[in-house]
Amino acid sequence: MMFLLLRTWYLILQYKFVPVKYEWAMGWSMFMKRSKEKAQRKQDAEESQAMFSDVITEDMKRGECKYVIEPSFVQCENLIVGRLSFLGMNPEIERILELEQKANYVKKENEKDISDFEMANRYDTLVGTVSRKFSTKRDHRNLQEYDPPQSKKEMKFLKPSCD
Amino acid sequence: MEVNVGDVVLPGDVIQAPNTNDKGKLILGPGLCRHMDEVLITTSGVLRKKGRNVYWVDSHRKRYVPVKGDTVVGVVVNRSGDTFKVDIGSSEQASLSYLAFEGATKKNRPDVQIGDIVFAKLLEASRDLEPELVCVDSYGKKGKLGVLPEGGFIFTCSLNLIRKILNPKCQMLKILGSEIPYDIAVGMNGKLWLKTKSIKETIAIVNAILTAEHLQHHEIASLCDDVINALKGM
Repeated sequence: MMFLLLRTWYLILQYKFVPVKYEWAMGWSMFMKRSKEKAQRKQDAEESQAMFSDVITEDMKRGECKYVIEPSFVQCENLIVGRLSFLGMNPEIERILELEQKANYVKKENEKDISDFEMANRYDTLVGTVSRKFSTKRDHRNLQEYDPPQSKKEMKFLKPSCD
Repeated sequence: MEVNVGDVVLPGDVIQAPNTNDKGKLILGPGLCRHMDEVLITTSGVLRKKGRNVYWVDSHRKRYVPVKGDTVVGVVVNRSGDTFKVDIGSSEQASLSYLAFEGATKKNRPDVQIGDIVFAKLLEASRDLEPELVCVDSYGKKGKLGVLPEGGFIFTCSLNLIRKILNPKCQMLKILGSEIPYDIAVGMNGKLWLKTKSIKETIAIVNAILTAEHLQHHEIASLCDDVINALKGM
């Protein structure tokens, strides 16, 4: 954006300069002043470009970027953090490492949202419900008839035992 | 010259254009730079690739160039006003604000002396700015960072050795740790701080780490066993 702005200014200035045909006495000093300004501006633009050259790439100006620059080896090689302690030399660090290890283990477990065991259990309870869906009405009725009558015990008042 | 993954490369070589039609972006690690539509090598070493789109150059290097996000070991060398100056082995000393410690406030200053060793993270590492360190994470917790305990031994090695021993595939530190109690801080800047219970153990571990530079992963495992056996025999 800024680059474009600078570019337009630059063009405008150039346009103004080309048809300059002043009398020599007046014109020369004006010309010197303006060309000095122009040089200054050009230098400023160059400096600002150089400052951001490692951040803003040509592709960014063009609006496309195929590459990501990653200056660290840590990300490339999956390096671990180099602060370790063993056999109780530094309990504080060891505790952190233990927690990290646990978190890693849990993460691996959780990669499967529902474990096979859980899934089997769940569907186990649904077998009856699903099979009823595919049975005909007659089967349904028969099933109900052969259902053992649920023995319902009548609730009775239970006398609290007095001591 | 065009090169492939696994080749020995030199600055100026061009990577064999990986499928440019791929939707995924290419990730260019250290030692690579982009020039127009080509990917050029800027350091000599071996070209490596991870996954589908991560490339970098594995090089031998001893001078540390600060990189944002790296964890480093440094020595506090000066204290001026609100910041400490920390030597991390780079061209310029890094600054460490006294507020960048867990629980530090303007009134409650952290207890850091000149000569202390710190394990810190690089918050800022730019070409034109002084590198800036912090000893807390973004939640204000110190985690593994901070001033390292009293005592211990600090030594330096090449940067590629650091990467070797911090690689998840390398079991060196774990194997040594299964028999020898020790506390270690490995900085990406090539500085290591080590604390054990005796001088003999310190010497053994330092030698083991320095010897590992030219060994393969499986050789390292047997080296560790040798070191442990030698220590037990004593």
